[in-house]
Amino acid sequence: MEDDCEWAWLPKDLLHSILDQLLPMEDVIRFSAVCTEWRSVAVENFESRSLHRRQVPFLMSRTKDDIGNLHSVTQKKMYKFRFPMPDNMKCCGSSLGWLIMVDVTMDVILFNPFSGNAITLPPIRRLVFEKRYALEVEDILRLSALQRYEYEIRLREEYGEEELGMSLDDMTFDLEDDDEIQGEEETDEKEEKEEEREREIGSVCRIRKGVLSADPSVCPDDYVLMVIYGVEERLAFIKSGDEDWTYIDNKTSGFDYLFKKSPPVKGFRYFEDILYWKSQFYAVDGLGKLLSCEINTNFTNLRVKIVDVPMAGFGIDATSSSTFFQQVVESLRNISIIWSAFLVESVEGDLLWVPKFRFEFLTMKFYVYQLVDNGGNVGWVKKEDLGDAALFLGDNHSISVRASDFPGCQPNSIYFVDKENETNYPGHSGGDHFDMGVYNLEHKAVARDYQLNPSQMLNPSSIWILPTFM
Amino acid sequence: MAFTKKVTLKSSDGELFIIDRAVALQSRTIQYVLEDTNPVDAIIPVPAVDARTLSKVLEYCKKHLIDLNTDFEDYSKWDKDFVDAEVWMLYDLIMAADYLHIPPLIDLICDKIASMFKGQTPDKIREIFNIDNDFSKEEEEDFKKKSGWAFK
Repeated sequence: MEDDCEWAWLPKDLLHSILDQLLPMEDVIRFSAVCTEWRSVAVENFESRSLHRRQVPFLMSRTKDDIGNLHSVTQKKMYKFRFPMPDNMKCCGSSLGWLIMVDVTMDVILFNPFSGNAITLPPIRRLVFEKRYALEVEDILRLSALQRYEYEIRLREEYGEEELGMSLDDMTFDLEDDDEIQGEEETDEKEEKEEEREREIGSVCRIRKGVLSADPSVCPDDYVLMVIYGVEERLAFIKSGDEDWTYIDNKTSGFDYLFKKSPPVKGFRYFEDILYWKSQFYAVDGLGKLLSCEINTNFTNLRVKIVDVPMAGFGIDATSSSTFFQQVVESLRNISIIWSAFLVESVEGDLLWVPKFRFEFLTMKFYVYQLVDNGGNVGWVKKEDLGDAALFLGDNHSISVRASDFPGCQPNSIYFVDKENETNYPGHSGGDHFDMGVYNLEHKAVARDYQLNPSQMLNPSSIWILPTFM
Repeated sequence: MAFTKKVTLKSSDGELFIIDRAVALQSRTIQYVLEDTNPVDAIIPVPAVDARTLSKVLEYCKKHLIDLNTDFEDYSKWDKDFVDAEVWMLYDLIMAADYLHIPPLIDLICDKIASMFKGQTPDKIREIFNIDNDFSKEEEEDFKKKSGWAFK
C-alpha cells in the first residue's frame, strides 16, 4: 500500500483543495517548493484565485546592510531575506507584492523585492514639471507678468502640455517690473538652501500611493498601475505597454496652486487613497468624495465619474457622523490634528471608507463607513464594528482578512503603519516619528505592541507587503 | 417503498458490501449509477477502491447519515478521529473519496493534509509524504533566492 502512494501526482483538483486550506503565505510558498508538480499547481492556484488579497501581509523593513525583514505581526515572527534596493529611489507604496518607487528623474519603477524583478515605467511628466516649478518658484515670482507668461509658454512647449494651470485671465500685466533675476552672489549659502528646498520639494512632488490591478508577473501584458501624485494629489494611470501616463484631470498643476490663494477644490483632486475593486479603480478624498474609473483592458475606453455621494458622503446617516465632523472641524482649527482616509474592500466584498485621525504623530482614532446603495441613494453608512475582520492599512494597497482564519490575528481591528509623509506636520522634520499599532474598534483604543526599532526605518520604512513566490 | 432499500458494492479485490441505499447515495458516483441503470439487486463494482478503504469510506457515510442531528461539537470530534490515520491511509481515502465523489469527505481529508503541512519545511514535507525532489539545481537556486526566507 505504502509504495503505491503518489502524493506528487495527486489529481490537481485535490491539490487545489488542499492549497485552499493553506492560509499563511509561508505555508503556500513551502508547498510550492516541494516538487515540480505541486509548484505548477501552486502557481496556477495563485494566478486563478485572488488568494493574494486575502492574506495577512508582512510588515517589511530594510536594514542598512541590504537585509530585508518580514515581520509577521500576528504570529510575532521575523523572517529575514536579502534585499538589495536600487539607489536613489523612494518607495511610495506596495501592491500585490510589488513596491512602487520613484527615482530622482521621476521615473516610476515597479520593484519586486522577492524576485528582484524591476519594471521601469515612464516618468510622470507632470511631476517633473511640478518639481522644476517648485525649484524655480522664487525666481518666477520675481518675474514680470509678461515674463511669467513667456516662461509658461516655454515650459508648456518643453513638456508638451496643451494647457497649464495658469491662464492669461488670472494675471495682471505689469510691464514696468522688469528686474533681472538675482545674480550669483552668496553661492555657498544658496547651495545649502537649495538642498534644503530640494528636500522640502521632495516631500510634495511625489507619489503618494500606487495600486495595481493585477500582478505584473502573472499578467505581464494586462495590468494597470494607478497613482496619486503631486502637490494636488491627483490621479494618473498607466497600462502595461503604454508609452506615457494618462492623467485624470486636464490641467497641469504648479502655477495653479501657487498663484491662487486657495485653489478651487473642483474636479479630480486631493485624493487620499485608491482601491482596485470589482474590476474598477476607485479613489476617495478626505470627505468621502468617491471617483470610479473604468479602464477598458484594450484601452479604447476610459470612463471616469464621481459617484454621487450626497452631502460629501453623509447622505444616509448624517447624525451618527457628527463626531466625525466635529473632528474634521477641530482638525481645521488645530494644526496638530491630521486626518487622512483609506479605501478598503471588506471581507464580504463591500467598499469601506476609513478616515483616520492623528494628533501630531500619534494615530488616535479610525472611523469605518460602508458604501450603501439604498435604491439609488448612495451614501456612506457608519459601521460600529468590523466583526471578524482585520484591516491592514498604510502605504500599501489596503488589505482585509478574516481574523479567525489566521492564528494571532485580532478581529474587529485595524493594523496600521503611518504613511511615510504624514509625519511632516508643521514644527517637525518628519521621518523620525513613525507610528504603528492596532486600533480596536470595540475599545476605540490603540495598542502599540509591534514597534520596530528605529534602525529598521530606512527606505522603505515599514510597509505592509504580500510576498510573491514567482 | 417500491425501490430496493439495499445496495451491494463490490470492491476492487472482490469483497461485497451490502449497505442501505441511503448510505450509498452519499457518493455522487454511485448515485449516478443508480439513477442511470436502477440495477435492482445488481452488484455495483467499485474497481478503484479496495475493501479496506471502502469499508472505511462506508463507515464515514454511515456515521454522517445517522448522526445528522448530533450537535456540531460531537461531529467534528468524530471527524477528527476518523482522519487521524497513517499517511498512506489518507492517500487511499482521498483517492477513494475523489473516485466516489463524496465532497464533505474530500474536504475533511484536504483539511487534515493541509494541517500536516503547516509550519513544515519543504524537506520535511517531502519526507512525510515520500515525495522525490525533482527540481533542477537551477530551479532550486532560483526560488531559494526568491522565497528562501520562508523555508527556515
